[in-house]
Amino acid sequence: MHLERYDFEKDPENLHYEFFSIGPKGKIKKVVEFRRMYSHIYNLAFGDWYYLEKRIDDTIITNNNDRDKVLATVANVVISFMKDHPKAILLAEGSTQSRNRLYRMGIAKFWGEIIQHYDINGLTDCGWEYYQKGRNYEAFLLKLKLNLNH
Amino acid sequence: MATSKSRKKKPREPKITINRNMTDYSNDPVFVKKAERAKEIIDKWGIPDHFLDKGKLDK
Repeated sequence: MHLERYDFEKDPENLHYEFFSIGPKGKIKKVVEFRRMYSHIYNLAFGDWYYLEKRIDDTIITNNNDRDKVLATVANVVISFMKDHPKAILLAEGSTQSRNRLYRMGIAKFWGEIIQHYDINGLTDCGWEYYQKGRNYEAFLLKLKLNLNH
Repeated sequence: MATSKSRKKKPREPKITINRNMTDYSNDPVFVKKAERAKEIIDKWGIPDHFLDKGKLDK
């Protein structure tokens, strides 16, 4: 990956990751969570840390002029998580339409690298299908391709 | 005077640190709600067989 990314921290269980978005709106903590649902299925959740109320906000549009860097950092976080959990199946659903669009943009941006190493499915009104660029999906599934040395 | 061509520098690799004192986000209402929503999706649509090793979902 040849894009600028933020440094990040992870907890010892490799389930929570933090990094700071730095821009005109200041320094904003971003948090990524991987929560185990069943067996090796994990849900990815992502949001801003709202300092005043000590909670996550996943609907805010930060506008810190670093969208691509944030996307690249989240992609790197996912890669780091998948390295630690090579059998994991990752589910991601945007909390809003714009968040889903952001995920689609991220997938489109890193498509070349993604398809080399990962299988992706998108959720439609009729169920899961192999991911097709340009289509709107409600949620996404991702896992490492089989038969690769990981 | 000869000038060297500017070369695009590769962005540096990000630093990854383990934080043993990280805030516990597991009870955050947003993350809890998203987990509930994720469970609804899985319960309704399942996981495609080609994503599962043996075609089974171990709950």
